[in-house]
Amino acid sequence: MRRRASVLLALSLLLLGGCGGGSGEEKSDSTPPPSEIAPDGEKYYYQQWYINHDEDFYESVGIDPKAGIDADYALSHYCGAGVKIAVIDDGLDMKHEDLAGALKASYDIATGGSDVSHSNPWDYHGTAVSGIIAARINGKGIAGVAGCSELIFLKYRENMSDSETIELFEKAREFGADIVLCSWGTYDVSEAVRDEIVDLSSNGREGRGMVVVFAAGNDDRYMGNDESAIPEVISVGASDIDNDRAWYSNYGRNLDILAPGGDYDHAITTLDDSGEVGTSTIDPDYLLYDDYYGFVGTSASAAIVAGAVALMLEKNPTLSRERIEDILKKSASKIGHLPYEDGRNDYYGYGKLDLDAAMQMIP
Amino acid sequence: MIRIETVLKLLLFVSLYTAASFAGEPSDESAVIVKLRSGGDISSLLRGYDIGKYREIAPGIYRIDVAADERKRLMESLEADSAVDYVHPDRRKRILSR
Repeated sequence: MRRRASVLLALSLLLLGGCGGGSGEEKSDSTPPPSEIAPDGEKYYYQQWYINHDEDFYESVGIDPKAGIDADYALSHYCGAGVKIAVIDDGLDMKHEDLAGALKASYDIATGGSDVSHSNPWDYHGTAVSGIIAARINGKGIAGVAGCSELIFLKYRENMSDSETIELFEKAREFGADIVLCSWGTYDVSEAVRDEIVDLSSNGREGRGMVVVFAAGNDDRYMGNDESAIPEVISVGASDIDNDRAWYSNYGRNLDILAPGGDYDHAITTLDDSGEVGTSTIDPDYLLYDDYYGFVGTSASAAIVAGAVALMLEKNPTLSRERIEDILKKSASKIGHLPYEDGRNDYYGYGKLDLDAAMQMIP
Repeated sequence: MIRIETVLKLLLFVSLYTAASFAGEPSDESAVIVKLRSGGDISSLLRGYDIGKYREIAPGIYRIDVAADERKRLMESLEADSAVDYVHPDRRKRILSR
């Protein structure tokens, strides 16, 4: 959700109108030692308020001390090593410095090929969510929540048929994804797409269930017949710097959890298309928290949760999808002013992601 | 001030992108998706119809290309068959980034 999109769309219309996993219960062997996954050396880590409680930054911006996801322990011991995350989105800057080595497989539904680069300058979205998850710990810009995870990028197209949507999910299965991130929706899910998502969530990952994470949407409306309202997916809404529900976050009886999504003045620092095609206004390769076109919305929230799940699966790859969902719900922080009945309500789900609390519940 | 070269470049880009967006996309107006119940046989269900091609897109779920004037009859036939769980058009939808 960015102001830029509407501006570009208006400009375009004006112009056209006028002119024409592994197994076992041990931590992955591939997990680097803590000294190698410490994100403190990343240039913009201090701005990543959603995962990093930098006291000076919090104070200067006026962020509620509890607005982040409480991830100090998790990020200093885990980085998603050995976990495969499929991102279904609009395109990826495959050469971004902060994703070097992250991409392991890719597929473009329009071409059938593996080049998933963005098709136009405003297809920034896939790079932004991928950065939140998988930006490398390399001393460049930011730290991904799961900075050692393996990225699978599946490029959608804007007007996609049900069969093409199913094909992308099947690609996630084929490439061996443990997690699928979908920071999009249609409000009009068909029976076949629903069946596919339910089947992956129940039977994928060799029967343990693939973890399918959907953004709940940014329209301050009931989720309705949206992909995010399928009970078998993890449906993620947005919280803000005041540690409350973000005003735009969709709601409903299948909303599971909130995670930081920011707002226009306090965005989620992440990657932008690098170089001239990017639209960031401060650093050409990064979207910063105070960028004019900052990255805001439940897309960011869902990416944070997908990254968190990767750390959970690194700690214990045998966890089932149901168990992961259960842990996320039970460990969530009960924020906001509305009462929770049986642990949840329609606006906050089970509360806001608390990653360290979730990690402690994993055997 | 926006330079005229910039406007022309953007115009060219938008035109090309629009053309590219529509080029090569298969028409789904006549395609249907059908899910069979366990043991259902797709080939026997399609006998007698002008079928272009069909393929299994997920376990038990098939996408069927059918002549436009045959689609309604085929869907009604499939809906009435006990081997079919459901059938619906393969509709295109706008994907909304969030």
